[in-house]
Amino acid sequence: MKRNENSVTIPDDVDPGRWMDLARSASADDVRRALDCPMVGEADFAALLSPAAGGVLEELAQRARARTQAHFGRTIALYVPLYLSDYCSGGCTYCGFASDRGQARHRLEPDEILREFEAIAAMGFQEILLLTGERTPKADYPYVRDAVAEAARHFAAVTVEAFPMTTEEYRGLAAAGCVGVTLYQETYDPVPYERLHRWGPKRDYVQRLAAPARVLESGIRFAGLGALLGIADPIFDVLSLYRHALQLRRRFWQSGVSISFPRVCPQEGGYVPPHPVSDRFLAQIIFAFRIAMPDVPLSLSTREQAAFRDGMAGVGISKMSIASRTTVGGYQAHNASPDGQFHVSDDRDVASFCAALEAKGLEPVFKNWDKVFR
Amino acid sequence: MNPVEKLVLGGVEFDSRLLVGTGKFASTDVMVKAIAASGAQLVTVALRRVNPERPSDDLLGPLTKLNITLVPNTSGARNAAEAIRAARLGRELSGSRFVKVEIHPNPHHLMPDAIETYEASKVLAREGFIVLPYMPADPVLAKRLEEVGCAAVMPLGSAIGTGHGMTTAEMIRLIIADSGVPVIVDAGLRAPSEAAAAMEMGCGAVLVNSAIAAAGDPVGMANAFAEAVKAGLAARRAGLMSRSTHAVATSPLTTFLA
Amino acid sequence: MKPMTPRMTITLNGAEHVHHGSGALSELLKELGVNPDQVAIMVNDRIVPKGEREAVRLREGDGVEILTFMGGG
Repeated sequence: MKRNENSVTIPDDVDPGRWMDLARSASADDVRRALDCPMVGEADFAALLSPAAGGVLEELAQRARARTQAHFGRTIALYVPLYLSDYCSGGCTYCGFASDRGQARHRLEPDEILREFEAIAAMGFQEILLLTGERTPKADYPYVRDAVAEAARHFAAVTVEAFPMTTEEYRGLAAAGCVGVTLYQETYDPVPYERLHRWGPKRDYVQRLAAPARVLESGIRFAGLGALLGIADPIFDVLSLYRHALQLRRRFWQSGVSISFPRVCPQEGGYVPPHPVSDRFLAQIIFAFRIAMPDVPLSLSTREQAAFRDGMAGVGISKMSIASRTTVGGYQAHNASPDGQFHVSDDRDVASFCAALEAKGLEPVFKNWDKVFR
Repeated sequence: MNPVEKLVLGGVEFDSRLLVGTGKFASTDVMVKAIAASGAQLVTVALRRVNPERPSDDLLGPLTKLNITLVPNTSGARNAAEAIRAARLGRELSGSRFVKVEIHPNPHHLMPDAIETYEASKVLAREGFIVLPYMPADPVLAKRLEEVGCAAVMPLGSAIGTGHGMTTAEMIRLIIADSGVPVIVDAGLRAPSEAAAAMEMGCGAVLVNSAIAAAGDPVGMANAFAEAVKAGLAARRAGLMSRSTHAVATSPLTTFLA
Repeated sequence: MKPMTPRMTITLNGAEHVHHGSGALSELLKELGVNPDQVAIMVNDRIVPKGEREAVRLREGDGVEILTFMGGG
């Protein structure tokens, strides 16, 4: 059991301890069983992460594509992120928005938010992800809630990636029209977690880990989960992420989880990931999730290169962002650089990305459900 | 797969994963021997009005001599109110907190009434019963019953007494995948191999009555079911080998990866 | 005057029954030849726990259910 300096440990129902060996040393037979069983369990998932499974990556890909097509058809759901604010109280070593970075801070005011929404809607998007940093007086709960309420007037689906909130606050977001909340644990290992999150409310590992349950308890339809791959042992993080998703699905069976695969790359501040994840291994992780959780939306952002994204689309991945800017705002002023919190590797516009998807036989989908269901 | 060693129902642990019913036996003597052969620790019984003309066909006496826990059922109840009353009477008589909620208003096929079963289970769980609801093989209902405090869910394999086996296997797979409480297949099993298949699939236990009582040799069949349940559980723990897959001839999907 | 044996008509397990006795449940069970340890009793739709049987006196017109276990799945 991993325990950090403040004696914080990973909860039993997320702790991947007993599957770690299997994920490192599964046999070819273990992998074969995992590929062929009708209901993939925890041991099977661990086997799919192993080097033995990496040796038959093409088979994993074929299986992943079959399951993606069975549940999502030949479609890719598209969304766009909008950074509302880069004020932050967090001290995340790896992040371009950490509060000790020297850059000038900015937040969108209501009139700017409105203009951004109009510009984004004009690009064709129907699903928007609103982002902020950790909670600050400049970007607090009422600020986020009001932005959600305004966004709900412009978009069919509004999701949020901000800071951990109380159940009451999440209820408020739901009432304002929020259908999903994403909150990455970053790493599930409490030891590096403690080291990487140097100050601020985000130091509270337990509170953050419990937030997705509060999201679903509040009636929001989707909780988005993820680990920031590269900052800690990816096997530990991916197994924990899987168990976290499994546990939430059992408990909140009327809601959904979705999973993203952010991979850290060098940021302003010169952070070098200590556990870099290769393209092949990232692909393997995504295939393993798709095989184990055929119906869960799996998402890949523009952090990744165009060639990797095109290769993964429909082969595990069912949801993607495009034309993203990771600066605050930036959609209405077309001359701005897209790079803010992280470097945008795939900087294609909507039309050329959709053309690439269509060339693969995939249909880009901008709207998945309509307001009547909210 | 979680290699839990014992079946845990409402905090009570059991070694045996075969539950048996006491109906349809030719005699109390055969029934008692069959129960002993089955190794069952949980045994279902039904309530009925006493018949002063036939005081000899008493079950409670012989059953209390076996080392078992009684699970009174609510059969005969046509709605939640009647089932709740039957459960309370059953507890009064047995001293057991276990109850099998069983509400089947249609006497022809005896399919369980999902709505009344849910309502009765909710009330009884709140009253401190260890509730084992007999239910349609419906994954959503299973979660709803778990939420109101049932200690297990008992989806039917097929209609009571038909011996059609696991006709609901796909639904039971879905129930197992999401369930936080043991899944016990109840009703419809005929052959021990079907009980083994249920355990291989991941069920926590199976409940058998007619298949034992109506067998040529009930005591022999009870023993066969006991062995099959053990074999199925052992197979699940050991991990079945994979089916051989036919190669899929398609263009490669991973050439973009270095 | 010679004391009369009390008698009353009750509904027992759904049928009319004439009880000759004081209305104590133990007397009724004895009259029926039923082992008191092997039954649960309901009077007028209310379960009478074993410990409270002594206190009950049946009256004319009461509905009494006496139940026991039978084989069931």
